[in-house]
Amino acid sequence: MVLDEMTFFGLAYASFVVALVAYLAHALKGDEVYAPVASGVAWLGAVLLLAGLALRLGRTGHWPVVGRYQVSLTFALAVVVAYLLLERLTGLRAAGVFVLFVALAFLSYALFIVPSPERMAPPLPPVLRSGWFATHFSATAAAYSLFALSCSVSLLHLIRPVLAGRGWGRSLPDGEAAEGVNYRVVMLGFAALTVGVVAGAVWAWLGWGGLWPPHAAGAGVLAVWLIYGAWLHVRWGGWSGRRLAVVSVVGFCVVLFALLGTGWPVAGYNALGI
Amino acid sequence: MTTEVTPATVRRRDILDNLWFFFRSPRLAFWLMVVVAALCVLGTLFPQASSQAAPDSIAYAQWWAGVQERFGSWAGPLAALGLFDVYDALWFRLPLAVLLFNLLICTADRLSATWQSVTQAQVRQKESFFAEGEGRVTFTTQLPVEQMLNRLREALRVALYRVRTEEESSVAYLCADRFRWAELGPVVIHLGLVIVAVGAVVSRGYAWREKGVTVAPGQTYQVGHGSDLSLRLDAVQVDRDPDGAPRQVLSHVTLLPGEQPDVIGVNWPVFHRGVAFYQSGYGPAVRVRAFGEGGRSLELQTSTDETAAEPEAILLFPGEGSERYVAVSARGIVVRLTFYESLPEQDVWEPVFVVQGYRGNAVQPFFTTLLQKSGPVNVGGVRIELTLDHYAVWQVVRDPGVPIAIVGLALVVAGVVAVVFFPHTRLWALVAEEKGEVTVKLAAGAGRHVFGFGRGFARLVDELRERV
Repeated sequence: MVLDEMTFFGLAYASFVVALVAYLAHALKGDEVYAPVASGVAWLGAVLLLAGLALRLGRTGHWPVVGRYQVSLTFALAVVVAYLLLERLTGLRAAGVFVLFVALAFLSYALFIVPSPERMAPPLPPVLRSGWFATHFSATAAAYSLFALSCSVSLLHLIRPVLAGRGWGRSLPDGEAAEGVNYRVVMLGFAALTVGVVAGAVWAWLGWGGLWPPHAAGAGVLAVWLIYGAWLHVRWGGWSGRRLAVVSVVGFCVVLFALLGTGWPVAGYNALGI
Repeated sequence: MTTEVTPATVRRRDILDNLWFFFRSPRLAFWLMVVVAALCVLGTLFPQASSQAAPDSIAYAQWWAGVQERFGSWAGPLAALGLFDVYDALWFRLPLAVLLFNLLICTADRLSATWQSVTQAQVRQKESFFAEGEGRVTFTTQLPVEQMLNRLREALRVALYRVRTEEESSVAYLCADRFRWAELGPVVIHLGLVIVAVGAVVSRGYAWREKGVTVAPGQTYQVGHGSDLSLRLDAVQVDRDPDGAPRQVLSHVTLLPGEQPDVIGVNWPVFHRGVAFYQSGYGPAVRVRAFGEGGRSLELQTSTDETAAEPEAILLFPGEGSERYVAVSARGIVVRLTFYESLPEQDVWEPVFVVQGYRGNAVQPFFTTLLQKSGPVNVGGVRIELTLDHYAVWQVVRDPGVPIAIVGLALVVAGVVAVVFFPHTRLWALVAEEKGEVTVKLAAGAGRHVFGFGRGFARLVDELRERV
């Protein structure tokens, strides 16, 4: 069997499916048997996905930041790794259900929906060969991953009463724990996104003399920044509980829109990417 | 002395107070941010004229044709609603302006209290302040008050706390705080955003931008706009990856007056006297010279300028399949050059020119060859020297608002980093000796942006206990 990048992506996909089922069983039944299996298989999937991306890096000579295929794969990896780190820090496993679902959705999009020609390795345009762009991309990807975690924790907070009424969801975090994790995650995500926005602005300034990229993706990032800025405002203003959880979920919808609905950097630009 | 509060002494809220309360509300900020975010989303759903084509009438016509094709009969009504120009529309700018005003009022409203919290934390607290509850710890020690206070001071200084103490007879008070200036983080963020907005206004009023400035090697570009600055392109350097993709494109230029050499690259603009030059494109160029018998130079006419005859012509090729003509009038020969990125049918996989020679008004060429490197070709007894080169496309920008906005953005980052990574935390202690036993009472406090200082406080208390 030839171990090419698609083999690794396929194995990562399968691992995430297994991990999702295990996380679901753990979240609903509260059985601790499933927890280490879920985490272990999710780590395995993340390593396989990273290996596939590293193979691609070796083939293309650059990090996977061009086009929706590469960006989707990168985001899937980022969100799983961010979650697994959070899991190690807090022991909060129930959020894995939603996170794995999001990662699988992005992997499915990349592997099954994006047309084959787009999966080729496009060259990295000169305008993207910038430390500022690398900072912008990394910080924004980290922020979006953290916002996915925030959405995940918020959804758990919202559905906990429903599941508890049916005798399920014993392993779900209580309101205060969920809120604590959510606050820290949003704060970190907002800081990362701020760095990403400012690095993007400096990149745009050095690239073509404006403080904002002349494509829709820039406005998408700004919309996300505003939504989470609003989240922090009302959090400091006294909002908590379900209202704040709803804002987190809406915020992540805007993140998905910014990722999927605003086009992709460098599409339709010249050989320099401008 | 206490003042009795009567209806006469309570000032009624007038309209200015009501306006102040309205604009200082975090809830207003929340909804305005949601509205502006929603409008940004709207601006990404519809193609925006301002960012793509508005300054160029031809490009705008092409853009509008595309919009009409996509939206059909809805294009007109959607344009009338301003959906193709969201960021310039009043209904986008108005909530944005109100949001900025809201940030200013919020900042002004909180500034005094925040400043007081930062600069005037009270050292001495009443005994009731240390009453049992969350963030409160009491323990006893055999150490004397003075020694205990020193231990506390040392431990807190190691943890980067600023410590102040007040003592009287057998009681000592301590107040320690860490990262107190971080409490001003939101103020700095708000100020930064307002400065960014000022930068945007300055850009709107005073910036200019020349797009698609195409310059051939040897040509000089006059900046204009009241400036005597000009730029001569000496050479274009294209660095490529092994697969042939451009890695970097550099314009080697000379700034005039002054004959100062410099290099413009992608992501590497040249700034000179407030004007920035950006590398925004490049393309193939061919320098043409013709020689007759005995090496005598022949004059050339290009299709772009039929009146002038020069001994040398520079032909610029804007893209795949673009063609240019040059005529050697003295010999009745026209040479056509066509540029291709590759010609798979000819098994050519690199950029190539198809060179064809025509006599007079003939439709069919009498001469055809492929040219991939500089060199001479003999066309009907005329030696045509073809030197392959590149032209540069620049954007030339003067935008005095950008440095202002950059300062604002730096403040935003500084404010966010302060709030997130340097939480303002405080700790008070009361050390009292009574009946030969010293009691230590500790109380924790944190800024409103800090969540869960409880665990940090517990760790700190453990460390303090270890030291005593």
